Amino acid sequence: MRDGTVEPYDEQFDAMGCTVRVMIDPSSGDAGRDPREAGRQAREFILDFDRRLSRFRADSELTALNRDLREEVPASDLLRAAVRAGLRAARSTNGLVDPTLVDQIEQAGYRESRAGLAGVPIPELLSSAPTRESASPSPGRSWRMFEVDDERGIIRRTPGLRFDTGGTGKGLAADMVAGSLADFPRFLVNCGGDIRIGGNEASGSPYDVLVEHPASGNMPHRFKLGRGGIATSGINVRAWLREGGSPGHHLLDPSTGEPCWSGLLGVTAIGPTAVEAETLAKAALLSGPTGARKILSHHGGLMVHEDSQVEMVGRATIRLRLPEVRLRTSEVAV
Amino acid sequence: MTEGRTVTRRRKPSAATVFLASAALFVAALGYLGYQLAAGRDPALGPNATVAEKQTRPLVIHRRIIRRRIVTTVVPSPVTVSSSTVSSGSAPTSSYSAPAPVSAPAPVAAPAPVVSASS
Repeated sequence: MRDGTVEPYDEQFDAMGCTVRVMIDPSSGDAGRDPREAGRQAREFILDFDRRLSRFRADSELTALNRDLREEVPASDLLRAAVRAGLRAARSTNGLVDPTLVDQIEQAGYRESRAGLAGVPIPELLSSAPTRESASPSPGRSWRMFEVDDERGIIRRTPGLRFDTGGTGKGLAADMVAGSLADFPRFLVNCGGDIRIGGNEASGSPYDVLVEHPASGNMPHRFKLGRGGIATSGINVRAWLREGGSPGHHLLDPSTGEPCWSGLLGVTAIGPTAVEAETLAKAALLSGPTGARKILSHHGGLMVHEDSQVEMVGRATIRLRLPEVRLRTSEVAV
Repeated sequence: MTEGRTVTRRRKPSAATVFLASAALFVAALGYLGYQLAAGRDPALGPNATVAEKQTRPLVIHRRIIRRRIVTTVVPSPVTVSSSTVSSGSAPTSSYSAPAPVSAPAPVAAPAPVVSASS
């Protein structure tokens, strides 16, 4: 605080295998809450979210659910919310974003957290990747075997089926924190690239959100977002070489249970919330270029092709503004 | 008593002989010079230089080379606040080897940019 003025809150910390950032603009005057206190609570919430819903922790509530052999398992509000978000993502994408592929992702080589581990360079991944093909839903659609009963506080499912909240967890965490910050003029919650923006004055003062290119690491595009969610999904970070040298990553084709090579390196999607944007981004990447254009057409976004080209889709293209380029030409006699 | 002396007088060559001798000498000299020229040894150019050597002397050409240098400066677009919640901005697309776009110097107190990236 300086001269009675509360400064904006801006803090980063590690959670959920990524870097989380919370930004809160204070209210004018003394009536509003202290953004530092709200930021501290947001941080505690996200750390607790990570502890309870990580499939990599033996003591997490999610792991307990996956180990439980009963058909009906008592579950906390948080776990039920996480499972409900995963099921909603599966329903809205007709099973393309499938939260029940735990066995398959482990067989693909993703058994432990890869936080802090370097990925595999994109050219190396692509050079030995199989034929490019868009993903399709699993014929069994095992996610339909899960049911959330809020009245009884339970999750019902066929014993032995496991659930992974990782596909929607970061977006959900950002959205849940956003619910507690709604009375601030402007806030942003960034959980590893899955971002929720809001606040009662946010529309008039949008945030600049840069999108990182999955291959070059440059920031080829900038979105201005005053409210809602934006998320990026790509094959560049959680990627590895499997035994035998074949490449793997964490975005699976539900129909095969194998990493999906759709022809896209990454997708950034805009959505009403962070978890919806995250779902759109994953579904678009799994669908390949043609399907991605359709999925992104409503809210907008961008996709990065394997040849590294960036393609804008939907509303984003309408508002695309190229940078002002100033050319200065000089002739030098040699 | 006077001894008589014998005086031997040489006869002058006839005019025809002189003319023929002169003509033959002229033809011989002309033929020799012609042979030299035909062999590439022009006596007017010096004792060791041949005509071919003289012609292949390096040419000195004064040429003005103009190199056009284009300096491109990317200036961020001015902020456009629209009534809707979403807009998008600068997009110099990139490739593996593309250099990072040049950005304007940020104010000292400006927060780090918000980045959406795969994680």
